[in-house]
Amino acid sequence: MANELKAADDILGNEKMAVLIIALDGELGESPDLIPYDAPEDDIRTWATEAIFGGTIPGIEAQEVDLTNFKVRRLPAKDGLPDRVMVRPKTEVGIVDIVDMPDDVKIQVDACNSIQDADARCEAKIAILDPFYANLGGKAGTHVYVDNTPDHFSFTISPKKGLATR
Amino acid sequence: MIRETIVVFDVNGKAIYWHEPDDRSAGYVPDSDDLWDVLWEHRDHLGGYAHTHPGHGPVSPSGIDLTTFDAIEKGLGKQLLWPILSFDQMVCVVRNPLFKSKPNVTHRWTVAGPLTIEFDWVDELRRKSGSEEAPSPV
Repeated sequence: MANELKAADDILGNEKMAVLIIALDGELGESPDLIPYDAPEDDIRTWATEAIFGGTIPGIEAQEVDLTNFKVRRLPAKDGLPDRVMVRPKTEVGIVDIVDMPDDVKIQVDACNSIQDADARCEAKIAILDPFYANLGGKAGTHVYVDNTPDHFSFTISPKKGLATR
Repeated sequence: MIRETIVVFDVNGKAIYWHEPDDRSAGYVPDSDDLWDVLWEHRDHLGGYAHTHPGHGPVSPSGIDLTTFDAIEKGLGKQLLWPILSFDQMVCVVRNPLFKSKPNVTHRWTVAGPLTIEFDWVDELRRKSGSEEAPSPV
């Protein structure tokens, strides 16, 4: 693989090439095609999706797969291994993404038995968020319903404005 | 400090890894290469991972939670158990045996009723999430 990488570098100039590795179905599949190490994450996910669909990844069954919720991890050459780019599942959990904290935040509550059930769950989440917003100088405040279906309720809370009404 | 925390457990329900990164908050545990490495390393005997939604009262999975559960099971090629705990309640999220092909991720999951088994890490997980600092429920 090191020779192939060097050959690719020679052809493409100074662009660093890497082995594409995909974690799927309990397998770590390695694509025979090299990709640019510094390519944008969306491009890498697209190439991985196409490679899986085309059945070109040894060990991984050809299939249509959505890698939207997979992350790209860049592993520089080390211990005799070449530069590698791994596509693997995300591991984040939480009520809200911290990046969205300063703005309105949409919260989804699923599998509710009733609107009262949805109310209770949303209020519980706001109670959890209040201390965090307080640290930012704000307050979770009240919420408004958006995008509701019989078993799926979403809320938008306005942490700093505090003006939203149900 | 009140912060979400994760514990990874094996197929016997025993804790095998505590995930307590410094950058976690009361509402979020960021993506982590370290956590993924643990899940992959233990995939043959992995049972799942539990996380907290700090505070008291009912808990349910968020959209972020469900898309993560979905992705990890796809990556590992196996179904897992996904407990979510507040300071006084717990639910376990599992893949719905129906609606596997539904495009909306919320339809592919369901919440299991009370379990007949007990995990020995529950109190420690709540403590690590700040349960001792949390105000009592009204």
